[in-house]
Amino acid sequence: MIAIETHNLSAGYTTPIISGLNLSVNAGDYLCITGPNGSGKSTLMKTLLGLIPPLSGSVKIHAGAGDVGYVPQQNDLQKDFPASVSEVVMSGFQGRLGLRPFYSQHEKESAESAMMRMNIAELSRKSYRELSGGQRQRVLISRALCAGRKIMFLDEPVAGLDSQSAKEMYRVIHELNTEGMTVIMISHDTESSMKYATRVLTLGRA
Amino acid sequence: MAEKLSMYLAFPFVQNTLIVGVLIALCSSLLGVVLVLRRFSFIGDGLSHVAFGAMAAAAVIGFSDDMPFILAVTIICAVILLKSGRNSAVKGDAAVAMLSVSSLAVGYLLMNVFPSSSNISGDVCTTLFGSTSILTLSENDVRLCVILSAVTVILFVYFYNRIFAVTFDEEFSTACGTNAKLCNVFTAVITAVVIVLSMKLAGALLISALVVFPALSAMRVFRSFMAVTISSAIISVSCALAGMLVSILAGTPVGSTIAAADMIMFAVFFVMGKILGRR
Amino acid sequence: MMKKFMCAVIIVMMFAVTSACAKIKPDVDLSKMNGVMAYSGLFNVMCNPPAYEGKIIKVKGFCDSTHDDDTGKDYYAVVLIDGSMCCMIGVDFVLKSGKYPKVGDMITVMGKFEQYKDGEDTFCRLSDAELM
Repeated sequence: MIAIETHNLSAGYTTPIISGLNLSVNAGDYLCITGPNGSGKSTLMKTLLGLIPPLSGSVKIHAGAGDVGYVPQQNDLQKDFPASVSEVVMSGFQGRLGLRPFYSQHEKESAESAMMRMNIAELSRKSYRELSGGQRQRVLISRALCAGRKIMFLDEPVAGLDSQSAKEMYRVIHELNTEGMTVIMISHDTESSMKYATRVLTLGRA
Repeated sequence: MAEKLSMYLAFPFVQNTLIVGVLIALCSSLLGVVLVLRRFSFIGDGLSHVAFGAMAAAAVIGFSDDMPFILAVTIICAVILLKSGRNSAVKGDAAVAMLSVSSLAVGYLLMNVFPSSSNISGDVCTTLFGSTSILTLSENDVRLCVILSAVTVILFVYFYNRIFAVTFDEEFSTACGTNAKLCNVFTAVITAVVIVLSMKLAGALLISALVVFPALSAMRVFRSFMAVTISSAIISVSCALAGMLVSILAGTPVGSTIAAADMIMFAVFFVMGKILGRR
Repeated sequence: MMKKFMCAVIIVMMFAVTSACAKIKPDVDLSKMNGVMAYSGLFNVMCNPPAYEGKIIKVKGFCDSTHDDDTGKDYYAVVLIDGSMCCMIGVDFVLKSGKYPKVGDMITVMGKFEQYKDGEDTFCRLSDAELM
């Protein structure tokens, strides 16, 4: 079953960084996107997610609203943000709020189970800015799990982590994949990506 | 002193002052949390100068009630400055600086070339520093302030979770389907409204104290967004109340007294933060 | 008979003395307030004349006067300056009796607030005023 497909996709902001991409990702695949800096990895991911409109061609994600999770790169503003871990994880449910102002009890329980899945349940009351890099990534993955459990997009999830934490992170993502989640990950680390990925897409000039 | 206070409190204009002052302090502190976290602390100053310019223009044009005109101009400028979300912080601070200083210059020029009152310096002084403007509100002013404050607080509570989500991570929110652009426009409109109202309390030059200090104080000590928001509101209301009461009893200008109270509170929270070992 | 007459005289005299000593209390006393509040108080009165029509108002400030060539009259006012010395507000007063103070003197005036027409325009003033 196809999860994501593109037809002749050209992606970029004003000029195309990627042209004529025909991609097809099956459910349960673990796709790793690699390439040098500036080759358009993040741009491609944002186009697949619908954050940037494609310059030409099309993208189709065969999934509903509550099926897609996204772990973006951490930004500077967040490093000092006063938010508790549970507040960050709960925000994964924002797409389901509709006209409701507050999250439901069911959503709160789902957030709890996502945190337990990522082994951060005991950190739920801690402040996000006091966590280590590896812990923060787990929080963001929990948040993505709340947003959707079928497909997960990860943009450089091990950036800034030491090698031990990075190994642990890859293991966790691999586990999610074995449970049936389609994983699309951007990574600089070709060695580790080859270890777990079922498919690799390399971007850049030929 | 209690006797003196009860003498003052018997006057309706003093009661109005306290009610409106507390409501404005509440709204500006809620907004302040969002603005500070998005690195838009200077917006308060910039927009208040735009409002000053709009006020001068309204006087020249000859509007009898200048509030709708000032609100309209300030809202438009706020939307232009804030609508691109995070990107604005990089491109926008120069735009804010230019808009801010131009409005101030043009406003003052208009007031001098087309004088519509006999005491230009007095009007300028009151508008910029808020010495007595909160004590001389008309019935219309009071009604407008109460309604706008109530609307602001209700909207903030209703959209609280979305405001948090977009402020924390705009990219993720957009990926979830939240209309982050709309959220930003909405924040800009509310900011403009609160700034225009706050000018009556603290004056255009001191608005930033009202908007920024309570949020910064709360962030020194509290660690979750909910705790920061609530404590920012409590700090702001207490400082405004204390500032207004001191000002009424001692005869000091209202705006500066409230700003001073906010600064003292920040110092207290800064020390508390250090003692509690917060980063 | 003599005793009853003496009692009556004493009671009448007591009433006379008490009413002579009884001070009229002002409805709005701005004279005890600090600069910012007195200024704001008078500002609010002058912005909302119907609400204060007929009320006894006491004000402390300095005396100012102008001469109107059209009417040939002298007008006297008590003027207040606000705390930051940037704004002034004043109200006319007309004394019940006695001499008017010099321009620049610090005075305390108490009188009945009223609106009156002079030609086509409506003005405000403290009438039946006394210097305290």
